[in-house]
Amino acid sequence: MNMTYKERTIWFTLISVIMIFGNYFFYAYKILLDSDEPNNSFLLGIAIPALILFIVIQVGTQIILAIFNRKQATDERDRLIDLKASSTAYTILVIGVTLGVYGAFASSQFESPLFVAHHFAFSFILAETGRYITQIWHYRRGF
Amino acid sequence: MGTTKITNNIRTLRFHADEMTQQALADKTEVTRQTIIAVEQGKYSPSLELAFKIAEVFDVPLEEVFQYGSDA
Repeated sequence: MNMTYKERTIWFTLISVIMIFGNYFFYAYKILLDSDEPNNSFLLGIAIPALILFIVIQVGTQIILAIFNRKQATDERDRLIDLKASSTAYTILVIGVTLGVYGAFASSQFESPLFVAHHFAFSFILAETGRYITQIWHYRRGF
Repeated sequence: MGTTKITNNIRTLRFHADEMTQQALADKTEVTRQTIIAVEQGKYSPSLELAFKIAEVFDVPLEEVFQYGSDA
């Protein structure tokens, strides 16, 4: 497949975000929704390794990509695609924040600071995922 | 309201420029090869600056490289 260095980076980031944070939030929400008093230290115990694993994979893939590919500077098309993708990410984040504010008044789940923190973190990860998917979409389909 | 489309002759111009490669054109215009491919295939409308740079590489007027048409 004909891809720029930047597009390859986006693919790797998207896959690692879905695999690592997808898994994390699946288990975290299971714990948060199923138990009346979720174990904070247990959640922290899986959140920190997930974050470290994400950073390690990101650094590792960047090194591998830099070794096997000629690093290219970004051009006008990359910047335009970035802007379009930022707009998608912003929209998703606004929806997440709005739902969070609504939830704080309407749902008893939001009484737990841990649940609120997870809701906003999940909104952020979802917004970033939306950004990567939009970028890939525009790289593949054109403008 | 009709849709507008920018078409181009980059493929032909490259052929007449001693089969200039897409990479060579990309290097001369300071963009990635993928951007040249996208422009050539009509998937991306370049900025005015890039359009002028491409025309300059082939030493032809802008309208010889890009054509603007409406299928209204």
